[in-house]
Amino acid sequence: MSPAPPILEFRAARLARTDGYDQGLFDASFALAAGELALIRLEPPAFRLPLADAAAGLAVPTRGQVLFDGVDWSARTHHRAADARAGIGRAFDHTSASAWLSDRSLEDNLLLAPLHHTRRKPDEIRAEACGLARVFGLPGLPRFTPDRGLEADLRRAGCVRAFLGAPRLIILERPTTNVGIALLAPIINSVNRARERGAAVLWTTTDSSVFDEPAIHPTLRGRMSGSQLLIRPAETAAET
Amino acid sequence: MLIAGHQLRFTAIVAVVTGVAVVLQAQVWLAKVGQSNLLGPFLAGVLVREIAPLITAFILIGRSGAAMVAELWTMRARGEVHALEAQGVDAFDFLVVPRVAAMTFAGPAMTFAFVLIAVTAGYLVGFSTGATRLTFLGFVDDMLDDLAMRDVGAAFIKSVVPAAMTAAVACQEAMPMSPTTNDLPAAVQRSYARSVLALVAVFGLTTVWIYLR
Repeated sequence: MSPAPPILEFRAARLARTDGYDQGLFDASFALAAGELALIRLEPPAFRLPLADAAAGLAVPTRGQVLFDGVDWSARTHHRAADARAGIGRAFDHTSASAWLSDRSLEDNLLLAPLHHTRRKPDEIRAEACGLARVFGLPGLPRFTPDRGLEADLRRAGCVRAFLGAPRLIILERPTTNVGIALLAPIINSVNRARERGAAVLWTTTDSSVFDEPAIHPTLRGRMSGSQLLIRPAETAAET
Repeated sequence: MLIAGHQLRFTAIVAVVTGVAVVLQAQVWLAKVGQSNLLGPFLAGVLVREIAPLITAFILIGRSGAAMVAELWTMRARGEVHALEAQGVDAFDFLVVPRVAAMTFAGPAMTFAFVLIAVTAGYLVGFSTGATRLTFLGFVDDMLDDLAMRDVGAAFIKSVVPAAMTAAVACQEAMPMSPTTNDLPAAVQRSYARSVLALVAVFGLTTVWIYLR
């Protein structure tokens, strides 16, 4: 029996700097298996990279491959790719409200993807989302529209969305930005629980206190040097 | 339902004005030439088959189509569509299909409401000015007697197809790969022009197909 493929794998993936990205990505190679965490530090001012979009199959590499669950994103049809994205939870790095549908409440936004992809009962999803909202410091499910929410509330709600529905891959894009360390402990706890159940986590940060946080135990540590992603096992990275 | 609901008051105002103008003039001029008995066929042919679907389609193109382009364009420019796709929710299924379905329903619903309001308004003005002595039921009965199935079919096609095409054109114009805010006015203009062309083509083809067979 062959071993299970990594949940996420970049094979010399080269991604162009296009509209919306501060920088491209040059020949990135790494693999994340079940239960593993890659912690990547971004260098100012290049905060918006195609890394998360490529991991979710939304940015197409000009060279190399990006595989999710052992299948190259480019080998999937449009609908199969959409179905595969049901297994990815993502806290977006968009500032303000652009990661949310502006004409719907945050609650509707949070429930949208699970209702779309699963046959779970709405009340069951709502209860899980409500529990996660409390974990991340919200009093309950936010019923206001995104334009009425504070940046910190949107970041917290973003974390709820990323962990909702036990996704196989969790992408956290600078989740503590403008929130401070208050959100760090619940994120670390949630990441640990997700890893225990077999999820892989890709976490980017610009905050050195997050990157050096001893309570985070990444499998891979990476940092950007220009458009080059320097990434290696955490033990090796700690020794050097 | 929301599209039809939002447009109903505006459509009602246009229908009242149109009904008064068309029905009253028809009554007056047909009476002058001694052909008052042609009022039924005239209304069935002109109002139900042509004017109501045409004006309704223009209302939908001008109000709903333009609003749809602006709304979807803004959503894409703000990154909302990207966020939707990143969650595996297909933007076509979630944003385009419901809009086309809603417009497909709103077209005939608004045309029906337009005919109802226009005929009622026209009758009330005609009765109050003495242009007609018929009861309202007699007036409607007179019109329905001359309304053939093909008139209803033509009105239905002319109200359904342009409405669906308006939504489809608006969605197609609003969802290019990389929108910039500067292109929004041009997209609204293109959407309007293409929708009107589609409307004229559908009206022409339907008339030829139904009445010249």
